[in-house]
Amino acid sequence: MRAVAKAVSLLATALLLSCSRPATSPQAEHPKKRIAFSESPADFLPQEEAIAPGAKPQALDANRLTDPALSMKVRLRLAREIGEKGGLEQWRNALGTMLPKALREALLESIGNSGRAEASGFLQNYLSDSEQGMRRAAVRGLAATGRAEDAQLLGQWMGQPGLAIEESTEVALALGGSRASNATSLLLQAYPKAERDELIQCLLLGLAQRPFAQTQAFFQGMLGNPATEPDRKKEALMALGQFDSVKEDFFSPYLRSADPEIRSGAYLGLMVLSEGNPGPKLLVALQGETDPQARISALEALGTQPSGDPWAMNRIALSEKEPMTRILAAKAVARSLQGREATDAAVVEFGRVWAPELSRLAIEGSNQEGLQAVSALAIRKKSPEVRNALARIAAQCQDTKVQAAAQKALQGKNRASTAP
Amino acid sequence: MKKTVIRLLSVAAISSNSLFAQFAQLDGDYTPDLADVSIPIFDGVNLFDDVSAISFDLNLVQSLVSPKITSTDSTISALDFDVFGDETLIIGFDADVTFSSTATLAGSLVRLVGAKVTILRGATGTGTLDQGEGPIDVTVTGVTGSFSFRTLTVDLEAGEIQGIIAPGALRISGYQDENPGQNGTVTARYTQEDFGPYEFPADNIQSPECVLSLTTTPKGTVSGSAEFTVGDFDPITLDVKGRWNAKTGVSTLTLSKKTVKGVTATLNLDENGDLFGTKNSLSVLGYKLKF
Repeated sequence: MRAVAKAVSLLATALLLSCSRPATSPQAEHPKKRIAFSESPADFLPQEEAIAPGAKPQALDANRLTDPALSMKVRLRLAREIGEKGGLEQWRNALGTMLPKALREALLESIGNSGRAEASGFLQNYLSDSEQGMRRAAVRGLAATGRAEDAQLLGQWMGQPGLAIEESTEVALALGGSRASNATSLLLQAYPKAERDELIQCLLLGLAQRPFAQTQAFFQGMLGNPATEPDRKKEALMALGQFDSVKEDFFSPYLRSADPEIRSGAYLGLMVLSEGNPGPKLLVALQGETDPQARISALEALGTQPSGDPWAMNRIALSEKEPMTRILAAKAVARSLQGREATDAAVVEFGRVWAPELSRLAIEGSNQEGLQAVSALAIRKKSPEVRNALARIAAQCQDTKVQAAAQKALQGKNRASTAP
Repeated sequence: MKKTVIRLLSVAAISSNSLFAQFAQLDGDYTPDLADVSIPIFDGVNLFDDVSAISFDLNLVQSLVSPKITSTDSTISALDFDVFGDETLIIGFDADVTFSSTATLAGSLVRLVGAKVTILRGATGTGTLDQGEGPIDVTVTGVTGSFSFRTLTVDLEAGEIQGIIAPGALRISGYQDENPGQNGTVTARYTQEDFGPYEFPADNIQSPECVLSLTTTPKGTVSGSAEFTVGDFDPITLDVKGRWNAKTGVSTLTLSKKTVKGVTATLNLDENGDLFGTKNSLSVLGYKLKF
């Protein structure tokens, strides 16, 4: 297992445990580049390493790609190595052999990371390959080169009439993660021309991945435009949250929108933010939310982000009558208890009131209600009352999916308890 | 003069009705065939994988009102996680995680865009630190960070899910057991890794069923209700409103209701209650499907 770990080159940038060298600050001795998870993936990509056109490629044993003794995972890694470190001849030879689809595609897209000048031409040829998977791998490869000309070509290719939706959406998403300097402008140009919903959604997701400074005017314009469909605004807000492109405060005006779709988008955008503490904001919004669907979105978000006030959340949950909303609200209560001791009054109350109630709702309710109830209980799976509730569901629920979920939650605790 | 015009219009209307009498108006129960409409459902999908020394155990959950896919009761475990790559610090830890992504359906592909696994507070573990004088036991008190997927795609035709985890880093805190008072933190960087491919269970791709109970007035106004079912979800009763087109014999129906399920549809049905044309659409679980 150590060998496996070493094989993937886990690199540490600082020495562990300052206690091992108490006299020196590890930061001072080993300067670290701490990754800020609010960075967009576009910023996160490694810097392009230019390779001189004549530079010798690394010799890699392509025969191992067809070795049945090796796992697919190992062969995938090798295929990517050949793509990244090999050269024109190796690429041709490897792709000329009868390889499984997954290996061919992995190799092809990795050529985009090779830094070789010949990569662009090689990948462009595959845009007309007979297999769609290979054409899409070539798209990803061309986006990965980071060259403006390749991005430009992809922008034109995306606009071809009759192009399969799988391929145009591939371009939109690949440009979203590209280092190419013109990727944002290409996506912005494509957006007003796009007709199919799937492509519009992927263009929004692509744009949301770009540095926000480049897309701020676009997003604020479309969100502020009364002519933009509320659905579209919801998608934009969710996408911006998904990629941590914006901070918590960005969503504040949309939480107060008169349109429930836009409020839903803001709740769901806040739900997936990695940084900040949007829970209290979501709780305040939920208290004033009257639209049933927007309310569900707010509750789903509070099932992920702690509200900061378990008692207020508890009061809301107790007042919910519809089983599904009651379960989602109880899940939000469970999430709000994160970090509290077992003796905390709110934790005790959850075990007393919600563990049996969620168990009842799971056993008596539909499949979906059962799964959501188990999901709510699993958050507090270390509590004895919750474990009893899960055991009751595992034993009494008629639905096998719900039963299995309850059993899995119980086993999870056992596995965790074996950890030192 | 006015009476004459009305009489002429009446004659025209009667002629029109008899001319298009071959089109029966919808009246009764109809079940349009939606077998070609594929809806990927992520509820209860489990993804297990060992990525270098980390084992992922993700249990995906489908949002009810949006294309968000999250997780419940998901964990990661590390065994012999080689922090430095030189066998100086080897640790194992367990942590609860959350998963989030936005699902997009385009043709035969479902992409889980922006997928990331974020480690929650409470990770614990143990390990050894070897600085050339033999291994010293260490205790891990926290692990923070996430694993972001560059891509994570379900190929519905191949029935497979596959992705790539982008390079990233974890922050690992802990202390030497012989000196628990002093806590320290290191950053462990990891490289890109393939995730999968795995089989995507066929029973997670469902076609909806829709039973319509309709009546059409002589003026061509269609109304009624629809019972809509997809996968394991409870059936949803929707209101139906529509209009019969006397020229084409096609009824264009809108199915909707302000319920928590968020299902809406536009269906064009011929005189037999079968789907007509290509301008039919369905919005369910955050997917917008056209067929």
